[in-house]
Amino acid sequence: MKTSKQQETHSLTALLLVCTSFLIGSAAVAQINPKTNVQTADKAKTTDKKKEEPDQKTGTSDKKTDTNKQVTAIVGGDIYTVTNEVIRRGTVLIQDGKILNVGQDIDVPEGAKVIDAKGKIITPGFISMTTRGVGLAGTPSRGQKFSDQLNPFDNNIKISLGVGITTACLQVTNSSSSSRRRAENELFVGLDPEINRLEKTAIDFNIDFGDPNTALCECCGLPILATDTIERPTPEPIRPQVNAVIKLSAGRLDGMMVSESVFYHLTPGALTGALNQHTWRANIRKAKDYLKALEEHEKAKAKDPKAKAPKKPVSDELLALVQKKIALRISSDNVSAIRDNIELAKQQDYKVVIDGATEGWVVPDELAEAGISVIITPRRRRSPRFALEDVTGSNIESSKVYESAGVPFGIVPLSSSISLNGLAGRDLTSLPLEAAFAVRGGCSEKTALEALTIVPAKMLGLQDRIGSIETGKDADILILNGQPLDYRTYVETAIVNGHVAYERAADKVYPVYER
Amino acid sequence: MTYRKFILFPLLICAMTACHGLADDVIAYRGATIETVSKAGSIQNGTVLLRNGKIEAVGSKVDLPTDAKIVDVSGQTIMPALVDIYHPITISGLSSGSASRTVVFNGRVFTIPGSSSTAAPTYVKLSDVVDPLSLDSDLSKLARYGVGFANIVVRGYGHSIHAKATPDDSASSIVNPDGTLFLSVTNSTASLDVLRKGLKGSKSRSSSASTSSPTSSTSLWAAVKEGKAPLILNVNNAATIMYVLQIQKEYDKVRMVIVASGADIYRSLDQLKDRKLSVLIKAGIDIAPRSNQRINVAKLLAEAKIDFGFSASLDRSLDSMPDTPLFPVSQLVKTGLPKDKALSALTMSPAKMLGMEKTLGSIEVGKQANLLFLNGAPLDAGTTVQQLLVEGKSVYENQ
Repeated sequence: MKTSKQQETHSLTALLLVCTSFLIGSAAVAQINPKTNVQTADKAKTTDKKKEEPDQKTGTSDKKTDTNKQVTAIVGGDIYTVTNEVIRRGTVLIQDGKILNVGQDIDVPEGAKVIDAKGKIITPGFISMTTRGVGLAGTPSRGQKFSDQLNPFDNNIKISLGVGITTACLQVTNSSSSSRRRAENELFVGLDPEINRLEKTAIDFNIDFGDPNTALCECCGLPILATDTIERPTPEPIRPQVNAVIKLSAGRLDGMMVSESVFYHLTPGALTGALNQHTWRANIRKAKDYLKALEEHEKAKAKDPKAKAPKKPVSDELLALVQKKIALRISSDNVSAIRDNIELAKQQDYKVVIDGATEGWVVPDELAEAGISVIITPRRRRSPRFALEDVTGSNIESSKVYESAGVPFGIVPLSSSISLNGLAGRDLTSLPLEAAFAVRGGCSEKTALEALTIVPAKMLGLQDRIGSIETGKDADILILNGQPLDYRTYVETAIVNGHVAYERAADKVYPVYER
Repeated sequence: MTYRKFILFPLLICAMTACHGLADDVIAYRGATIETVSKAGSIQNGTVLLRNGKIEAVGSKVDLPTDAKIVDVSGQTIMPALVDIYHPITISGLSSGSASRTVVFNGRVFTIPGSSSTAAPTYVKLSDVVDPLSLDSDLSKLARYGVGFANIVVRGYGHSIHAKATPDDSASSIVNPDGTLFLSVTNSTASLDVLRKGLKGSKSRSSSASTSSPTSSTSLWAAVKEGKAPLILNVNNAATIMYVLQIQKEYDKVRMVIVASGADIYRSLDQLKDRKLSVLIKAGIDIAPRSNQRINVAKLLAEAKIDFGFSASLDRSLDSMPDTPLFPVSQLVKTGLPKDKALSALTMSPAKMLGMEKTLGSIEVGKQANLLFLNGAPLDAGTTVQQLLVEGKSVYENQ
């Protein structure tokens, strides 16, 4: 209402003012002369600019074609190829994300981008076999694809690259599955209620203690490494876990996802107990029968194109396992559980990777004979069982035992995530240090380096792409300022898929002072 | 509510009332410095002649017809009104809570993940659900900020409306109910699939799309795919920009406008180069991710020759209604952004992104008389808004 009144009064004042404005206006008309030469001069300038632009464009397009063929040369470093001998003061040539050539007497092509690595050590990028919370934007839930959830800008990527991890095998437990697991654990008789409570706390506060059996110190509340004995895991339903392999290609989404199906990954108790083992055998049989039926169907199809295809009774992952395309990955620390897995693998004929394998040092020859590889944590401590002191519990010399028996082993640190919860020296960034503890346990430095590179690559079925410095492999290369497993060593530069993904001086994730 | 007062320039109103329907509305503003944001550049002591809400002449010397009302605005600067091509509004009853939501708080756009991130965002045709009268407060905010034309969107996915900032006449503010396709993208399968399927699906249906109603989402996607219409994508992080770029590779004709924060653009700058897209950011100095280093993203974009524009609605000060809306831009100019790029990013570039460069974005003959009057050089720190004309009519006056 007010505004309408205002309008009226305003229009009145406006009528008064309009007369004066007409007076001003007529005066203004008299003053104006039509001269507009300024515009033409400006036009001439803009045409000149246009002439310049196309030249610049062609210049950039030439550069563009160059970048595809651009060769990067890392010159002067000692190259730890892993699969071959160490090349002293060698050269690595990189083109199009792959290793073009490696050796001592290699000419650097003209126009190549040269990275001086004199006095430095060059190794392939490390592979983290158990990783959580790196390179993902969120927790993938049902209906979400892993490949749509990547975050190449995650800062954990830079932190991981800073210790040399260029490839990560990710595990994802979404909130619903962890709560399910909790509920079922309570159903199984015999599980220590105290452990159950602690695990719950760990899940609730999203704190990663590394070992699920970590206890908290009664006086200070800090986590203590588990030292209790290892019992057989309680039976759990057979439910495969999600595994995916990503490259830690900081800032680049292209080439980040490597594989979404690398393991048939089961929880520790999935193959425990007669019922579980029976179900497992039945499932494998179903898969084998289906593959046979499919073969016959292919033959029948040649004769009769209308032949009905057999129905798939199991998941694609299980079929891949039976076809030995991927391995079964299962966490097994107890020696009798390990023996069970060896037996099953022999009977059912599939590849197995055993996680943990704390008591695996008791049966190295059986593991070697079955062609089973293990993923160990040399610093894990567990007490032997009473009266079985010689054949149970953890063994600091596991790495030596496996090396001499010919059991391929990979190394993971105590915790699988980048942790800022006061677990310094235990989290993912302690991976090279963990390998150093394997050397302390008696294996050679060469084997320890293999345990971070080519052995995990083989477990993942990616030995043709990653794990060593060889012509034709992905250019995932580290330039180190010291021995690979020395705790004082820093990664100076990490190259992933041929691109420099990390530089210590620029990224400032780790100290940049020279020692 | 002083900004709603109508009359400070009574001449204009009087001319409108007196000559309504009888003769042409002719008015000349003279004596001002005119930032044309065109080839003509900056004109000292120039004159703009408006007829019926359009620009009839502009220059240092303009022949004024006898029926022209003449307003002396010496000492002021006239520039084209700002063009804001991403103004999100909230409509009550539309939020199902299932998809992620874009919420404007203090003029800042936040994307809040919904209860279930797996749900695909649902398509909304804004002109079907929005009451033009409810746009009043939004339009007055924009007018006060110097925005003459806005592309109005909501959270999620849909079809925007184009509106002129005429807060006291919001019933007729909608100039184009069939606006532009917009989509909020996160790096989740659900929202990325909307983009993938939209671009992919339109191919198979493009033949039938011409027969179906011109406003259906399929025909919109078809137009987007052929490059006839732009696609405005609000991305919630730098990783999403990577996904969008990956999808865009397959569709070379698509004209994308990426709405993103300065920090996210800064992270993905290398990969935005040499791509056919535009970027819409908030004007102002940003802080580089994981550091306290200040960055001028607009300057970096200009150096990388990436087309960019500013959106007033991304600026948190929109709600606080500052007298000096161009202050953040002046900071950018002070720290190295070329002045002409800055002016263009406020006006001509967004107009081009929307495909409306023929009617908006500069002071050129034949264009709409959306003019912003300032009391000094537009990119000086203390310059305040004096008046905003939309289609020749005053919609905001500062007093």
